[in-house]
Amino acid sequence: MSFSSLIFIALFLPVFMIGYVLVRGNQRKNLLLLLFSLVFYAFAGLSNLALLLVMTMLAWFIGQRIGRALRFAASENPDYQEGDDDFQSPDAERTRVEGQKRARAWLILALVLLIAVLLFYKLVGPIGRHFFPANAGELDAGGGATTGAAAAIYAYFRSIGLPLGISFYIFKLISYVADVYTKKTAPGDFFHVLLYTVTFHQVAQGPITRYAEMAEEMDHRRADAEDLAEGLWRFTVGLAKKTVLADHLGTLAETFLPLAGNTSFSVGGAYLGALCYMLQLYLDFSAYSDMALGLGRMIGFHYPENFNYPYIAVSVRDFWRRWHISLSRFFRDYVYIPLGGNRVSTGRLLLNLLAVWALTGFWHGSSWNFILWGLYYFVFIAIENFVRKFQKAQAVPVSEGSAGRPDVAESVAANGTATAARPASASDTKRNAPVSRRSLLTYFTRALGHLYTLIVVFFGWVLFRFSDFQVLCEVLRTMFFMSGRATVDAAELLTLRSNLFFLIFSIIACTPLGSRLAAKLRGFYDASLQQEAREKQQLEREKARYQKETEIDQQVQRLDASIEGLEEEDAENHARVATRMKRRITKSSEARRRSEGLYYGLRILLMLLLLAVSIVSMVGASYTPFLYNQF
Amino acid sequence: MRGVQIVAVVAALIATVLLGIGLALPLRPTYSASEKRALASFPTASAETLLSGAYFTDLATWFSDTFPCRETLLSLGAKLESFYGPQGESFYGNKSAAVADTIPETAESLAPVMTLAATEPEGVADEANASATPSSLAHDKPATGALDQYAALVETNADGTLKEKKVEKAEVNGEQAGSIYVTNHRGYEIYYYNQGGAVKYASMINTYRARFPKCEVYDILVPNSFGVELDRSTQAALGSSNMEDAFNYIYSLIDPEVHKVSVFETLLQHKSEYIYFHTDHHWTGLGAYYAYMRFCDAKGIEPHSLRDYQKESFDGFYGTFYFSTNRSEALKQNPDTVEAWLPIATNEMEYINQLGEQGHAQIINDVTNSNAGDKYSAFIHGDNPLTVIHNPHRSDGSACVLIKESYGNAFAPYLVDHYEDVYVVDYRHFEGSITQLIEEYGVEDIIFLNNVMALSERASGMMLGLLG
Repeated sequence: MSFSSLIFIALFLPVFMIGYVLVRGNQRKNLLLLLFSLVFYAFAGLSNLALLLVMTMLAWFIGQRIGRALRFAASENPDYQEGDDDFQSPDAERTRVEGQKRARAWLILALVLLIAVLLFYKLVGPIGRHFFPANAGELDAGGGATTGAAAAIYAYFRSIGLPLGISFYIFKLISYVADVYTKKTAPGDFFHVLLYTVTFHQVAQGPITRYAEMAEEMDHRRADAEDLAEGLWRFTVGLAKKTVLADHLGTLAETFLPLAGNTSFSVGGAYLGALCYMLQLYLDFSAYSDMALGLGRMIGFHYPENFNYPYIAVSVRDFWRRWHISLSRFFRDYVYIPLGGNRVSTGRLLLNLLAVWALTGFWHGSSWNFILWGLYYFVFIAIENFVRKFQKAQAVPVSEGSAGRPDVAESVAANGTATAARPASASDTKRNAPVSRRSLLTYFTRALGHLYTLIVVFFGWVLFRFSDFQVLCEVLRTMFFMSGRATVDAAELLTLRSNLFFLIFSIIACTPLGSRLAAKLRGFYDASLQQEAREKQQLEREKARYQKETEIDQQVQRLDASIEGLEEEDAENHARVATRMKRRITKSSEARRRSEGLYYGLRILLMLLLLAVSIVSMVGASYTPFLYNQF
Repeated sequence: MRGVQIVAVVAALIATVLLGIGLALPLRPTYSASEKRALASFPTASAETLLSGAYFTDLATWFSDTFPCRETLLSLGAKLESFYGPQGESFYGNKSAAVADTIPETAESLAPVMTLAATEPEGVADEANASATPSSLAHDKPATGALDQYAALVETNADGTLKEKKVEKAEVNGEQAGSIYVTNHRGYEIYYYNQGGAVKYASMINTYRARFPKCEVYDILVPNSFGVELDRSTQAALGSSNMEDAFNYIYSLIDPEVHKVSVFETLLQHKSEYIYFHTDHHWTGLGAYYAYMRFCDAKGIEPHSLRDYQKESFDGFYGTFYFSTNRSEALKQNPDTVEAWLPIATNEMEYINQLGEQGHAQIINDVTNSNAGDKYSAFIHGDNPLTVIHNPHRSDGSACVLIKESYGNAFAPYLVDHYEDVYVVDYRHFEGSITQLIEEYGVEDIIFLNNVMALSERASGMMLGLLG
């Protein structure tokens, strides 16, 4: 079942949500979530569900074992810290080493098994194709019984295909086992680990969350109307992005630049097709993430963001901090840093980067073009790393005044992945720049950075698109005017023309423009809320002040009745101030209500519109799976 | 009530409404008139499909394919797409088909005649004894020997210009929409010349000529609206091959004894008239009438005037262009009218349908109440493998066979008044032997009527296969 299928939108999700609201208690809600998740995954085939259950059981069991081994290691000296080795008793030290060894053995076992299964499914296709290039069923008998049996096995697995989401859930399980080993999380019971693996929000395509993050919310989460509203909004936006934009972009990409190469595309067509594909990839995958995050938010889960407007990145490094964040984070935490990260020698750093990027490529598929695509990024990341190192070395004596430095774009980008942090620091940079010439330079470097990143990413996606090497070469030759194809083609221009507004809109949809507008609108509403709250507070303070004064006055009067009270005048004064304040509060309440109505009204309208448009698109289009479902 | 709470209420409403629509089983359609196909049916489970997940995929397909209000939603979807860019002129590509060969100048030699493996006279004699109902013809199996032999020939022989075999587009019948160009609220289908197809077609005609020396063979090649109504520069800009050049080349490959009924010029002269549908890939009854006039010239008979016939028209026709452009808004505003002229002698016909059942219908059928996409079947009741029309006012034993794809449907009615018997064979569906039909019924005229999109190796192979 896909998030963008009608059966999900008009049957599965409504039934689940209604059930979820009706069922009381966190435990029962979790049980319901698990039940629906199993049904959801069963749509990928019961044999795939069985595989998922077995893999989860494996990870859970080994997680328990590692937990026990670690407890054993700590049994003699629970307060052990690194460096205590020489001071604690030899017995305790032996226990510790023994326990650690056992935990390590279990960890290695888990990693080997999990990775072996993933590799098997990733490789069975290409290897089978290599050995049985023809239709496996029609293999001649000459190969003998063994070949026949192998071919039959291959045919069986080919018929299954890659189990849905296996690349994602195996990575989740690896991160779970590794986190147990490094004591970032305690081993969970089977229920929790299974729910973590199979929750329908992320089983098909991530984000690759961490067990500790999710387990915490499994047991302690609250979801109010605000969560529901935010989640539903996020989900609807994702749905529209997928069904209206991404799917049509896919059709356009196929029209301009068909996957099966030998057709009559022109140079312009190749570029347009690649552009459509570039837009489609982002809108498709980020739509899925939006929907996953939205579904989670509706019932109180807060999953980590997976995308942060990657196409506005100013460097390739920056791009990878914004694209498929949970995957990059996985490779950073479980490959790059264990290998020593960047605090190593240059040669070793290169090796570490190479490992990460070859794996990133391979994760997407065992076809050569994916590996090539990973290595392609390795080259750019390595270069940028050296440029950074060089610039840092240069910058040390100058220390401050980073504004005009060419790498400012870089450092700004490095400031963080949060959206809010970026524009703020960018404007700071501008403000700090002493001379306009310098800010112009900054502006120019930034623009150059954007351009460079977009070009690298653009050609990266071309590599990514074509598994057929010959087609890939032909497309690249065409793009560089080396294939003798026409520059433009009337039919392609016509297709471009009748999709012009659509393409412009799609490009805008890749920028943070929409969410900034929404944030602005939200800002008005928040400001009016604050205004109202402030005024109410002032009134309360005034009331409290008057009360206090009257009390003091009364005490004074009791002590000495001769002292003249300020009764009359003060009461009048207070009454006047209070009415004025109340009047102001009524006014600001009014304003708050207005902006609240505007904010939520617009949002509901837009949401209904997006939903309607999505459903209309879903009925028309033959169902298109999410692109990342193939990985 | 606070804003967020309203959102929550709206969410509950949405869930209920969606669920309500999703579960409204009686509202689910089972057949799509516009797409002319039965919609997906509820799957039945088996252990295998459950394990592989195929069952669930089918379930999801069923759910969305038969969604309530499907047609309305589809139209809305089309409306949405009309906002994607400036409308008026657009291109609906199907690139997998877009490989055009260059058209050679006139050929130096004729296309080769096929020798057929399966020509044992006993077969014919046997059949001659058998009862001569059309149904006995229709159930003969086609001989595949001829096809295989031809396949070997087409690569080695011809005029030396043959290229390596290209993957033909998924088209079977020369009629499925490939690349469609929409301008001025009219759809046009783009033609890509295929050298192998051209040679094979000519060779096929020559083979018929050689096979039936006593019959007259007529070959009518019909351009589509793209070749006639659009000017040459537009055609070339869109990467289409020139149809007139293609026809001339093919005719030059054909035996001079064959009557080559060239209708291109005539249609070009009448291009401002309603000779092609706007939303469909067919020609109109009027277009077919002009072709009929040229046919009469070739046969040396006097054509009837249009005024001699009784005219029927049926409006509200949306054809293949409309549906295969995903209901282009531009075409939607320009529905077609099917105009038909009734034969003078009779309006009755017998046919055998694709299931092999015999039936009776009108030559010009009333399609007032047919589905919008189905109105071209006013002519001889659609694409049946065999249609037999007997003219009660004639008893001279004259008979012709019209070998056609659906372009012939609009043409066939005009033949009725000139023969005692007209046999209309749709080569894509006919499973009998045309040799038998021709010899048994004393057919004098063999008329080929093929539109430009049918000049493929596949279609020619099918026509050759009829000789069985």
